[in-house]
Amino acid sequence: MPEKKQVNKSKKRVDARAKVTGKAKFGADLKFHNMLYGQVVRTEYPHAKIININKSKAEEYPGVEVVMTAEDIPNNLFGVIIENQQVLAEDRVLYIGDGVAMLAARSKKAAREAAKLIEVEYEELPGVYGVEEARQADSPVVMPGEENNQVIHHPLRKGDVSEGLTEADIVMERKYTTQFVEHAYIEPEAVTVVPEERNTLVTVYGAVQNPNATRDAVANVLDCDLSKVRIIQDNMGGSFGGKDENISAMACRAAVMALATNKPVQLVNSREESIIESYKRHPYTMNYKIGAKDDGELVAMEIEAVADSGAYACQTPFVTWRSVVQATGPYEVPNVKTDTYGFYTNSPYTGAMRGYGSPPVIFAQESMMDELAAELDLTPAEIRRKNMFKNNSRTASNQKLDNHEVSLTEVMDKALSAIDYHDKYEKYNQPQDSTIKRGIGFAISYRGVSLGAEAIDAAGAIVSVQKDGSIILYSGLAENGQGLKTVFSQIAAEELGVSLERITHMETDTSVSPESGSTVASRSTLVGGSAVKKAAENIKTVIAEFVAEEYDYSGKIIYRDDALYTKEGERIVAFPELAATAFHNGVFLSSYGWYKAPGISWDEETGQGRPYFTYVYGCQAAEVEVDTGTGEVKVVNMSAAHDVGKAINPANVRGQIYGGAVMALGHALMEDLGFSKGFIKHTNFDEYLIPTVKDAPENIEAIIVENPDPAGPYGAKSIGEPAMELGGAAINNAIAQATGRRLRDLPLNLERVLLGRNLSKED
Amino acid sequence: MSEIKVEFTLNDNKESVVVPAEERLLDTLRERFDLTGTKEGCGVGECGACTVILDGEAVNSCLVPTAQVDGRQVRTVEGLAEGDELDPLQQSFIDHQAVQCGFCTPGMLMSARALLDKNTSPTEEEIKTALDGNLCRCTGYKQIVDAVEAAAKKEERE
Amino acid sequence: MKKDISFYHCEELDAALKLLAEDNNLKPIAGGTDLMVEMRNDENFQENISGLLDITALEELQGITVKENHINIGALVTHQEIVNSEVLQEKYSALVAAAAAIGSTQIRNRGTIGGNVCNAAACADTLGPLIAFEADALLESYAGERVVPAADLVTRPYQTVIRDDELLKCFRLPLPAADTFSNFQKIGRRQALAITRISLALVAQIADGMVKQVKVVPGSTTPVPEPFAGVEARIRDRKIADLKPAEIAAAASEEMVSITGERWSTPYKKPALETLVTRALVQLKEVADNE
Ligand code: FES
Ligand code: FES
Repeated sequence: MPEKKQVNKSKKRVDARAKVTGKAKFGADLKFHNMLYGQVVRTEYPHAKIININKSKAEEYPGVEVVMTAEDIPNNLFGVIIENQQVLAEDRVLYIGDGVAMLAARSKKAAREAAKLIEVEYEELPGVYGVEEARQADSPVVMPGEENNQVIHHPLRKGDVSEGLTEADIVMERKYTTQFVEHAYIEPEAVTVVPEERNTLVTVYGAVQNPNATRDAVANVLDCDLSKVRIIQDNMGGSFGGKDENISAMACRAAVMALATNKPVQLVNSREESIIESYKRHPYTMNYKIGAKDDGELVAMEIEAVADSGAYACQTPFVTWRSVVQATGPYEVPNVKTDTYGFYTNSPYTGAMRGYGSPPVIFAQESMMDELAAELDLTPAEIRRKNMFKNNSRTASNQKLDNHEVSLTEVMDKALSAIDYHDKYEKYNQPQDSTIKRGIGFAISYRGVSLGAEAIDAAGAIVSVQKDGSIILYSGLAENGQGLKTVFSQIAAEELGVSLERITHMETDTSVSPESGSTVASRSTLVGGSAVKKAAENIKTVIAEFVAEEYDYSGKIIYRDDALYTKEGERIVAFPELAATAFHNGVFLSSYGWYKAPGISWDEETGQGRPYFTYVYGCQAAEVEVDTGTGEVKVVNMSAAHDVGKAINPANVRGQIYGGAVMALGHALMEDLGFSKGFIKHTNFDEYLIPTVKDAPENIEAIIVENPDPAGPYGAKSIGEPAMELGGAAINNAIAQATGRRLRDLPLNLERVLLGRNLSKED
Repeated sequence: MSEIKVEFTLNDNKESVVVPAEERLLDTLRERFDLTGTKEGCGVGECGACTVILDGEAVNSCLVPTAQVDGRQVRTVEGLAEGDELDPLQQSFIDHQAVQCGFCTPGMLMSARALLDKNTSPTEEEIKTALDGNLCRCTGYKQIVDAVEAAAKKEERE
Repeated sequence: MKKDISFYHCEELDAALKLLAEDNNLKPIAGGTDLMVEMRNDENFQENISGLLDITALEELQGITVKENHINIGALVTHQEIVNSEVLQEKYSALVAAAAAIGSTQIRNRGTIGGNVCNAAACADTLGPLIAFEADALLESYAGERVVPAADLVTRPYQTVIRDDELLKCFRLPLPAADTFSNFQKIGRRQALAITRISLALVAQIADGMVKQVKVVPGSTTPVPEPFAGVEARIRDRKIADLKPAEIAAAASEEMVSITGERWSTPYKKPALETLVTRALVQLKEVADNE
């Protein structure tokens, strides 16, 4: 293999220069001629009937051009999986973020002031808060038209769990819970809709994570053809799964108002609006029952994981599906019974967030492995080594892991040695004099790559060589800040042997870019990257024919240094010259590339099959310092080893690991929306706390493990989500060692760490 | 007196605006001067996305009434580069992959610039203190701190 | 429609005081770090004031000045200036520590000690140390000047004795005796940009192995920071070697509960406050030992 020039290199990000100079435009930075500013009025109660809405005062307010309610919207419902999310609430509000009316005005100030004049009369209804209540047979039904509150149930059955439990020497039962979590992208949501621009009915610009999903929603709501709605993505100020359904709702609202006024309408959320309206990570309540032999061998696991879906179905069916696959962790267990559920409540709806359905179950199961080890007098490392997957192991879904390297031993060894785990583990097991105590813990995981059996898994890209040899790249998957443009550009550059500067990666534009499903599930590099590679390969096929004709060479062509060479190393032609000659000879050097992921299978009744075509493996360790007098926790060091298959851009991969680890630290220690009966108390960053630079560990050792996977481009798999699913459990295990007390509920805040329980203000 | 005339220096240019008393410097920059590099993430001084340099100090422009900057110097991210020549910090952010989504980046750069203008050889702790008002949800801060450290070393050498 | 408000900028204290005397609804603004947030979050804020009075140029309110028996800290002195001040570091380290723990660099660059105290949040970090150092506040109006002890300045959360026509000019801190020990600790939910969950300021004057004078002022434990007299009585005029930190700490948490009653947060605040008191006293004993 000749050495790679563009991939497996820490190339600088192609979008960095625009971002450091302040020139990069984000959703709220756009301005259009005659643009109006939108404002949404949201409910005052988490659950209520709308008796009456009086718009007249707002309509008369100077500068206001339109005031609308649900009845003005052609089709008020949308949703990716189940169509039951309201653009604006019709007669009933289901959660505190539901919009009830909206308006557009010529200035922001007028929009804000006029919104206060919209009078809404409500009849407050009793709400359902929490899954315990939601799943009771006599619970009020949250979603109109449904019989009960269950959104979904995924069963998984393998072996015979009751028999397994009787064979066990020890059976442990534990309950764990996790909290609602805010994505907390630093950029609040923003969209602008321009009516009847360039042959479309509406063009949507903004912070759109999944342009095609938003297009579906807007076309559905406007009741028009997909071709009449064009979504052009702007720079995204972070998303982490979070700028999907809520952005779709905003785009729908702005689109309806733009058409009504025939003017561009911009909607920008304040931070408070963002936190109140946007969907969250699902909180989970998890009951684990594990049976093991005295030597630590796992014989049975019985798991129930219940997720709070909030007011809408949103992504709950898929989020809980990932949980069912990963709930037993990367361990061989002969007898498994897992049930994951989602239930409607009158809390904020929950959807995709980095990690999807895995961080809660990993928190539970990796905490529990430590508890079990302690009970059996084994070390955390011993119990894991005893049970973890190796090549050809069978998962809980009975999938044989035989088409890629199962690298758990490698990631675990590397992460643990980087942080000096074993010595520290011994040391911190000794009595510590000070009230400030240290502890160390870790967690391991396997994670299905891409969508799995959730949905069709294919993506496309366009690579288009211009006559001067410059290249335009369009991809259906979108840059969300993670570095996709850079990685895709590297792949195209590698294939065509050109420098990165030759390539311009355009914004995703639904009228041009091939529909590729959503930019989710850490699938971009593998699925989307493969599509880019395919497009470039198609072009090379055309070039080969042309070179045979024009340059009289039909051997293998080497593409490097912006030129084409014979396999003997003789230069055939410079790339720009080739592009020009091809153009003048009527040869077309552009191509779509399309990649469809390998097949998978899934039995809904038993949870058996091949849910994902390949997996990644990771291990993260955390060393903490706990002030046992105040409950303060400082994560001092972390190490993280992730098998990414192959790193297309190692610096980017490390960036994902650092960011993922610190996000997990936030979930573990401090993030809390302050819920009280459907209300959110912590609506801005003064109270919804995320880690600052001083909360980040002093050192995070990011270790890239590479076992190239046959499915990925150059062997590459994924990193975005794996990087954030392990930290919570690792930190919890470290705290348990430091304090000698096991906590089972997130976040591990001052009160829990000091007292072992949470305190809450009853209001 | 509800419309106030404010004359100030913005990225080395003398400017003059008339604003209402409550107008925030953040809005003046973004809306009157089209300097949209300065971002709004929270509006309450907690995220640092709106950080600009006011008379040499990093401040949250969402908490500064424009009326107060009369006679003073304001520097924004757009004023860092000189033509095509990037500020060493900007280059260092590019070189260290310190940019992901980029929304926090302008504020981070301004906080870091204010630090290096006063302290050419900051310790890691001093860098972290200078950035403690700038939230980033993407990077975990590591590559940002590295970038500032490297830029400081480079500037010190020069 | 939010009403228009006016904006005044004064270079002279007299002019500013005159404006305040004429218009009780003028709101003085300095760093704006609290006020701008309030203006954004409180729908009625603008309705309730007639305008903003920019006091940042008033020289009498600026700077840290050392006098013969005391030190003046102008109301406009920023948290960062306090952090940077060598004389304060040397003589009032608890105040410096409190200022350093506030918000973020951007907030410390703009926020002032005057604003911190006038805003009078229960978690205002500088008030505790000011009370502990027995500072006086100098208030000035067009009619004249008055002096109020820092301990009497705040009456309840967000409420002070400062009249609408008055400006807080400066704090006057007596120079501490040579052997003065001071300590400030803070617990927050994160390492920066954290609202204070509990803080403690302790200032003790040491002589001949004895505590001559002591002030113990916890923050965010009572509606308004106040000296814990019962705790102080257990420390004052005692031999340092005889002080039993754990016992005194327990008395401190009892004293807290006697003021606030049992509240939802009490189960946390009691042990946490005890930790802070214990640590301050242990440190006091160490310092005394080393002398
Ligand atoms: S917008 Fe100013 S600090 Fe967040
Ligand atoms: S790079 Fe996205 S917030 Fe910092």
